[in-house]
Order: sequence, then C-alpha cells, then structure tokens
Amino acid sequence: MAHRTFFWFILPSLAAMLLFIALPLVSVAVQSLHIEHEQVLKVTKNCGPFGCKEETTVDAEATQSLRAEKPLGRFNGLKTYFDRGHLATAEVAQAWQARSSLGGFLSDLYNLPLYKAIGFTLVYTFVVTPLVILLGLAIALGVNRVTPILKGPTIFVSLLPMIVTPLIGSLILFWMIDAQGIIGKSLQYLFADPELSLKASPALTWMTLIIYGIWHSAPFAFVVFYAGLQTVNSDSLEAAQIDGANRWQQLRYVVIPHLMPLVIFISLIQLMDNFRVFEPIVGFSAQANATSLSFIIFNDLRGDVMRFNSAAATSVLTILGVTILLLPVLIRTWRDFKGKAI
Amino acid sequence: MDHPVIMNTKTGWNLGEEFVNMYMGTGAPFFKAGTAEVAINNDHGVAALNMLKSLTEYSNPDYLTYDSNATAAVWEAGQAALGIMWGSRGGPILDDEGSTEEVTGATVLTGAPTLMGDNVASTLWWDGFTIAANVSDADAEATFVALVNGISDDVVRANNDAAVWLSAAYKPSAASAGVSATAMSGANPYPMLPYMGLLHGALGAEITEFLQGSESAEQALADVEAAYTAAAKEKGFLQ
Repeated sequence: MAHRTFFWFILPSLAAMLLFIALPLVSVAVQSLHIEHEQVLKVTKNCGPFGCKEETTVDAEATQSLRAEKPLGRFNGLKTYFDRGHLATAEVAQAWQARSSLGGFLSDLYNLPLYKAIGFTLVYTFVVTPLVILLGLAIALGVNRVTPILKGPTIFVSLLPMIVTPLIGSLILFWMIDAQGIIGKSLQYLFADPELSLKASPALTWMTLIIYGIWHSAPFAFVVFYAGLQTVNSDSLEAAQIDGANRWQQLRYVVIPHLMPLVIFISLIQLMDNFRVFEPIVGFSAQANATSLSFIIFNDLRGDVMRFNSAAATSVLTILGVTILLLPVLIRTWRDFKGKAI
Repeated sequence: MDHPVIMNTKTGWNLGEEFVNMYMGTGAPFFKAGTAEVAINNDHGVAALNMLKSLTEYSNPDYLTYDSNATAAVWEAGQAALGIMWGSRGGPILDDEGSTEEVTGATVLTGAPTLMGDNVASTLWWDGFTIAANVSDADAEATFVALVNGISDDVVRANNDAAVWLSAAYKPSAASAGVSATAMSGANPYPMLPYMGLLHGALGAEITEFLQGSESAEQALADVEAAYTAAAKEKGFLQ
C-alpha cells in the first residue's frame, strides 16, 4: 500500500490516539512536575451547635491571584518522584546506612508504600504471565483433541472466566472464599483447620489473587493458541510421526516452535496487563495484604483531598515500569523483524 | 460465639475513621494549634492504637476486609455480640429485612464508649446550612428567617423520625438511640480541618501493619507522620 494511502487510512485512529492517549499522557507528566501552591492558613472563631471554637481554615483570597496566574501550581521538578510516597530516595539511603542485615534493609524498604506495591506487582506479573501461557496452551491442546460434537460447548465454557467482568468475578469469589463461603469452608475441611482464613494472611491473599489472575486470563491465551494450532503444518506433523516421534516429541519439536510468535504476543499483552493489576485487589478487599501500583494511584485520588500530583508521578513510574518490562520482548521482536527483512 | 466484636476496620477510609474515633477518646488534638503539623506520634496515639488492637483480638480474623456493609451483614446474621458501627446503620439493622426476629429483638443501640476520662471515642457528623456572603442583606435575612422557621420545634416534632435532629424537641427512636446518646454524652464533631483528609488517608494505609503484628505502635505512628508530612507538603499545607 502506498504511504499516502496508508496515512489517510490510519488518520482517524491516529487522531483519536493523539487526543485520548498522547495528550493526556503529556498532561499527566506535566502535572507530576508540579505541586499545589502554598496554602495560607488562618485561625477563625467557629460557632456551631457544639459551642464556639477556634478553628483553622484556608484563606483562599490570599492566594487567589497566585492561583489565577499559575493554575498548574508550583513547579517542583522531579522532587515528587523522590519523596516518601514514591521512590523515597532519602528514606532508602537512610535505611541502607542504618542496616543491620540485608533482610533488615529489605523489610525497611518494604515499609515504604511504593516498594510494597512494586513487590506485589512484580510477583503477580512474573508468576501469572508464564502460568497463563502454560495453562492456555494446555487447554488449547486439550480442546483440540475433544470430539467435534463437544468442541463448541467446551470452548464456550473455557472462555467464561474471561467474559465475567473482573470486578464482579472477584467479588463473587471473595464471597465464596469467605470462612463461611463454600470454597472457604471446603478448604477448612480439607486442611482440617477450622481457623483457616484465606483473607487474613498476606501469603494466602497473594496466592488467591494470583490464582484468580491466572483463571481470569487463561482463556485469552487459550483462544490465541487454539487459533494457532489450526495452522500447524500437517505435513511436518506427519513426517514427525513417521520418524517415530511420540506425542510429547511432536509437541516439543513441531507444535511449539510454530507457536513461538504467539507466545511472544501473549507475553507482551500479559506483561502489560498484569503490571497494571487493580480490579482483583478491589474486588477481594485485599489492600490490607497486597497493594499494586494502580491501586496506590487510585488511593491517591479517592480521599477527601485528591492528590493529583502524587497520582501523576506514580502513573509516570508505572509507564516507565511497563516499558522496562517490555524491552526484552520488543528487542527480540525487532531483531526477528530485521532478520526477516534481510 | 467465637468472634463477638465487630468494627469497620477495612484498610483505607474505614480503618482511618476507627483510629480517628479512638484518638478522640484521648482528648488530645490531632495537629499543633493553628498549623498543619501533625501531633499524633505520642503516648495518646500509642494508647489509641493499643486499644484498637486489643479490640481486634476479639474480632473475626478477616477484620481488615470488613467495611460498614460487611459489619451490618455480620450483625444481622447474629454472629456478633458487640458492634461499634456507624449511626447510619441503626435503621437498617433494626428493620424487617435481612435479619431474624431473634436478632433484631435482641439488638439495643447505645452511645459510644469513652477511652480516657469523659472523652467519647467517637465523632459526630452533622449537617447544617449556610448563607452565601455575597447575597443582598434582604435576601440573607429572608433566608435566615425561613431556615430558622424550618427547624422550629413544631417542624421537628412533625418530622421526628425523618432524621436525628440537633434540637431539644427531638425524641430519639430505637434506631437513633445510639447517635442521640453519643451526642448527649459530649462527643465532638469530626475535625473539619482542610488537611484532615490527608491525615485520614495516611492513617488508613499505615496502621494496618501494626494491627497485623508486624510492626510496633511507635513505628506505625512514625510512618503515619511521614506519610502525612509528604502529602501535606505536596498540597501546600506544609513548607
């Protein structure tokens, strides 16, 4: 397709992406470099049904002209990125100086909100992504061998976990894993521990969230692999069978190399999505035991006082994190592309 | 009954509110007078945290996921014996839906407890009315007359059960007995300071680890102070 035609073809999408993705990103980055103007406080006498009291309020008139001139606020440079709510460089340096052991340093680090969130986010991403790929492949191979009559219903049932809205799905599972819910009670019976609670311990909560994440995303991998399996070269498979390869060897030497590009594709999508994990934490009310980068952004914006600048800084850090995660996959894809072009 | 005590201790706003209520029971201020510097990292803060933790020892181990909906549901299921709940739940837990006659018949609402001396460990949330400063004097006077007539004793008596009225003519019902008793025993309103929301958020996030037993009360309060200070600097309340 000529470049001109291509350009006109993608112009609507490009315009939408510029307006709804690029410009907001620039706005968020700019906001992360500013903080609110200094508030002037004044003490006034406040009388109400409970008597008269001296109360502190904000004198909005004193800063009115300043706010009108500079609505973005004070320019703060990168200081918001280094404060305690984000990279906490001063606190980390202090903890490193005062460390008694590496374990002690790590637990001091874990006390800081961003590092606690990064801890869970990375564990979630690096456990869920490979297991989703493995489970999706297993389901696809299984469905491929089911008798044709049952294929339709089996595919439908396999897709269900992805179709359920994450928030609703996690909320219903939250009720089921309660100590009085069906899954919770069954686990208590299975492990003969009447005090077992999945929601009370951080380790079990992390496991619950990870299992939910795998259950919810596996259908996506299944669908992609299933489509890929239909395009496996039957001649190569036959040749392998004639050469005496058993099922596993056929899988390992013919099917999986054929599906490799799809594995890369699913890893890309899953790494991006899992790094931004958020709905399961809300649905499972798990914030006591597990927070993620997206969750602390949401938390900043949900109080009585909305912390736009802090949320903006965490958002930019999340984008940087996703970029770092995807770099190896993108480099490999670029090398393959270059290789094929030659 | 295994876990008789329920409170709204879900990590976040609910847990922050439980601490704020408990700290009110110490009678100490949250901030240094006239400034936005937080003043809870002291013995009063430790006392409030310790009382909160000792109450959670009688609660269901999942207490860090219990928001006000969950506690109302647990109460209506008859699985708790003592509940520290929000006044707005008074009506729902005594009504005909969601519970049995056995539970609603045995439910009695009383005022909030005290912690130190006469200081009630609770906060009052009340609605008032305001008149804009930039309306004409005639409008302001007319508005004032209309509003005062609106809360006259006759109107309150005629609409007794529509709300919990801060009026001498109000007669508390079974559903509002708790809130009334709390108000009468001298509870203070929630400190409506411009930076209180930031402290509330910091509390809700940072005291969880103390309740779970992985850090000391002093460390938790130091974390709250650091988190609040960073937030207050960002919003311009501290320099």
